Amino acid sequence: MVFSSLLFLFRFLPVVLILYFAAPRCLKNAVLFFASLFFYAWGEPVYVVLMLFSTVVDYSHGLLVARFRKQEAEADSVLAGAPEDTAARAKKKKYHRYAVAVVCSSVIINLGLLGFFKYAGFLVQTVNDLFGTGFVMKKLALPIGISFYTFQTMSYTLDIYRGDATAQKNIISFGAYVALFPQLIAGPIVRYQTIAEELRSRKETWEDFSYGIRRFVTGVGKKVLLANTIGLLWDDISARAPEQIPVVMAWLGITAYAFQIYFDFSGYSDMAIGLGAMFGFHFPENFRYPYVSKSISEFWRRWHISLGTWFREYLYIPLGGNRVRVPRQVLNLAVVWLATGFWHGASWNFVVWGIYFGFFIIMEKLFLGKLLKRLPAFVGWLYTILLVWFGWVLFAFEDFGRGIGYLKSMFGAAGNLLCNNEAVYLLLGFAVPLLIMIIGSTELPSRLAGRFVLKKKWYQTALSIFVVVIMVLSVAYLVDASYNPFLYFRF
Amino acid sequence: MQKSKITISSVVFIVLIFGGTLASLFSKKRLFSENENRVLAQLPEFSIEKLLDGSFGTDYETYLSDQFFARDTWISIKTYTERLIGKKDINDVYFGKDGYLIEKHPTTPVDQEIADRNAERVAEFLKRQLALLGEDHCKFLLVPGSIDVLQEKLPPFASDDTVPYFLETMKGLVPEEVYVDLYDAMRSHADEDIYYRTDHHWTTLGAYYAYVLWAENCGITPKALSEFTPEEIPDFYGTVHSKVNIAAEPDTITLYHSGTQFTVEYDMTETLEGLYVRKHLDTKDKYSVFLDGNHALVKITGGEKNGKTLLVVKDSFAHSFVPFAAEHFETVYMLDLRYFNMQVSQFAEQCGATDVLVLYNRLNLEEDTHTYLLTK
Repeated sequence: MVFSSLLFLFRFLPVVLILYFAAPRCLKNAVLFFASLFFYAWGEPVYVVLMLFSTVVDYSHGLLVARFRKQEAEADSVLAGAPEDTAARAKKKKYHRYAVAVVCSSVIINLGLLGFFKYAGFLVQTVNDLFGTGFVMKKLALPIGISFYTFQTMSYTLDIYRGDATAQKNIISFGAYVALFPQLIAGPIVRYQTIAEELRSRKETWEDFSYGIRRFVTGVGKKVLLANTIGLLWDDISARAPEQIPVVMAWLGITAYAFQIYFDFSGYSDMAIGLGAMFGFHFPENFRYPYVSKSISEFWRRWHISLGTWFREYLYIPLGGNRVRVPRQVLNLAVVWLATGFWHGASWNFVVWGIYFGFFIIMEKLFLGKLLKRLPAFVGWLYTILLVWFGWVLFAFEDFGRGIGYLKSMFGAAGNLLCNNEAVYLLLGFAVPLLIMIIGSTELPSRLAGRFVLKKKWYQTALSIFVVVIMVLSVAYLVDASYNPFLYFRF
Repeated sequence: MQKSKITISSVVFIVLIFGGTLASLFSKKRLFSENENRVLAQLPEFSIEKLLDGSFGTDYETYLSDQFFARDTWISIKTYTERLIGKKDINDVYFGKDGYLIEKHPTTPVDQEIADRNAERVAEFLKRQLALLGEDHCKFLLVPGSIDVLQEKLPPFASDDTVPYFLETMKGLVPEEVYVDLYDAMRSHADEDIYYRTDHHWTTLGAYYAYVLWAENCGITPKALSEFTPEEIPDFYGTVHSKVNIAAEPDTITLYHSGTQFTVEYDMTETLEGLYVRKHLDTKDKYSVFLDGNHALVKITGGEKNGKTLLVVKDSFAHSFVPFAAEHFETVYMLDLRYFNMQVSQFAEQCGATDVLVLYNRLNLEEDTHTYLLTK
């Protein structure tokens, strides 16, 4: 199920709200857990089993890690009193090894699941291409959200190992964390330590509920009214042969894609954060106006923040992060960006896309960053936007040939025109949504709102009008939805 | 909820989603949408298999959307919003000048392949018929779409003012003596009502101009328009209008009666007197008044007793054209390749065709997937 659907708005959400707020405190997590299972099962009834499996695995691994770590700590405290106690030393070593083994087991099982369901087909294909073999692999549908929930459950076991969180004894509460429908299928990737406290005890308030509505409705509008609309422009343009895309149209097309993916993805995060707030959770922000960035490093601090955080916390820092010598640092970054690219989809173009950004981030770390700081801000912004836009071409076409063809169109190297009537027609027809999205991808609207609306007496009235207008328009667009794609099936 | 004051926005939101839920649960369910001219999805039957393979879920969502309360109103809200923010086309329909709704057909490279193949098959078929019947008796009418002819009616920058690629291709492939060039003829009448404003078909008047040109090319003297008695049928909303569902002026269908008594046999089973089937006038699909809409095989008798038999291989554009042509042939056969299943050459021989006409709309022929019936 997706949030931006009539089914969610007019069947699922009302029922869940009633059940959740009618349930006594001790059953609220259970309501969320079972509602989330239903939510997930709607699209993929069979794959619920997979998610439950992942839940049980990390629940038990978490308990084991906690137990071994505790025994290790006990041995440690014995050692503190009697440093020569060899039995205690051996015991400490043993339990430490056990804990590490359990963590490894969790990582292997989670990555194994992800690998089998997401990457096996790709791997077989690559082997066949390389060695001319003819292995046949039955094409499996990618379980929705598997990239998100396997990363979340891994973070749980790792957090316990690192002492950043305590093990969850209640499997229902843990299940509610893994399956939590607001962020189940498209993030943000909420690390266990972030909401451990709120899973145990949280309070729902009308202020949070109202804030949640604001975020949720904003997200629905971003997805349904803006992203879907501009997505049609991209679909139209990208389906053409390279020589039939004039230069102006090619740039218009990739700009449309850049806005589609931003408003779609950040809209989804808004909806998730909003729904979370309605139920008393406070999820981390996932996007902070990425298209105003003045370097690639900054872009990635503003784009899909929860993913970047995950890779930093559980991969980059464990590899040594910034505390190692420069060549090793470069290697660490390379590994992280290769993984980031690959996470986005089982196809070579995503790998190249990751390497592409990794390259510029390394360059910025080495010298480019300092240089950019000395240049006017506009130059840094233009450099970033151009690189990100080219990046989206890599990202959008799984078929390299088509990606290259599109790049050629952008530079007039495909035997294409500079401009034609149709390019002007499309530009004029989408000028208003594009303008809204350009403004909407800056901080301006939220600053204006903060200054002129948020603290005013009539804030609630203004918000109510906003809610009505956006909801009415969105429902109109959803009823007539011949076009409402879900972009993250690949993640 | 903890102790805190309820907010207006929360109340509004709750009212919206619960109100919407109740309204969508208790609204009257419809079988058919007149506006969209299609059967609406009904509550899917539940079964474990359908649940497990996910199809129950998808079907239920289609049902929810199809049966959503005030569906037509929601769709209009969307259309008006899009118009308001400056979109000049919706669902591949241009909002042209003077109330013209004009369909566009974006072509992908795959479509292009199909179109090229169709062009070759039609050309080959015509060459063979030309050799058998002679140049006065074998013709090809490729009807341009309203988008090709009414360029002045399109929104600014919507057209590149060029002759469509497919028209040029066909003109190059089909023997010169067979190709009746309708493009310039239709363009010269572009300021008359030769296409419907709300439908993709040409009007009877448009078909008449084509008939005149075709007859002259065949060495037949066409009847003057004044020899017919026109009958006007108002309030026609066509298929293009259904795609956008916005307030629009309805079209008028004109029937030109000649007084000739025709007998029409449909699919070798049902026989009706007259070329016009009036029962369709009470329905939305009024264009079917012409020769009862789509049939695999239609046989018309009653025209001039000259022993000549015309075979028309066609799409629905021929339905308003054939009433004129039928005046000049003792027998006319109309074949619709979408429903007919036999090689056309073989049928032409069997029915003793003395004349052959291939009549297609440009856009329809580009997309047709049944031209293999023309290959032998």
